[in-house]
Amino acid sequence: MDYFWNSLIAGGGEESKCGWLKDKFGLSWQVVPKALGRYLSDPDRKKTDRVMQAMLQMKKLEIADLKRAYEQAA
Amino acid sequence: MKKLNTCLCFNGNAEEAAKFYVSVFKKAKIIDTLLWGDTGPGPKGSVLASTIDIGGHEIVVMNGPDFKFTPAASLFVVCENQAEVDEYWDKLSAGGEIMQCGWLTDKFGVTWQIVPDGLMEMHKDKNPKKAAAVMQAMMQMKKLDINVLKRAYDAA
Repeated sequence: MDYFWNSLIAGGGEESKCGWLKDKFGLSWQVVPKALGRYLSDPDRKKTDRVMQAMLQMKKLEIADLKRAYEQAA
Repeated sequence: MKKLNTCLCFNGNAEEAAKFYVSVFKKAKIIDTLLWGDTGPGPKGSVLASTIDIGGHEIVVMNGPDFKFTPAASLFVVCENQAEVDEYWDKLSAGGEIMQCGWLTDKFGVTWQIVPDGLMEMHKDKNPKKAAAVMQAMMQMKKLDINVLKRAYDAA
């Protein structure tokens, strides 16, 4: 996560919200932890809402914080 | 999901777009749909994103912020034969806009390149005359015609 985020943004890129960034060539990327898909498609709406809420406040996604949001909403 | 996937952002009509692309391509299906929950910003229960699988390539089709598509980024479709070129060209350009050299923009604004298999090999031919003849033939086309391209290649 950190590696791709930092490498793609280097040299004139721009960070955006929710794991999105724009590289120095103007191409947009989403750098996403593997577990996010599972968190967001959980049948428990409380869990998915918590994860979504946590994600909407992030620029680079933080796996530990997303996991905490997912587990807390049990 | 694979390491690298494509995500397209629509302005509210992602669901319609996902259904359209799945209807156009063979071996295509919607494999996942994510709805907005209580947190928004989209209306609860409406489609946030659908993931479609086109022959093993996954595309996330989402309703996103107010972005505009541009031909600077396009999806590159390699076709097995002219019949496939014709089919994808007709279906994807319906209600959209055709461009040059095998490019088209569909009715949702997404740009596609509909390319016959073998074209890239002809472009890379070691004989610069052949590569140039193919390029010249291609520059005059809208929909690509593999037979005309091959004839230009063979004649050079």
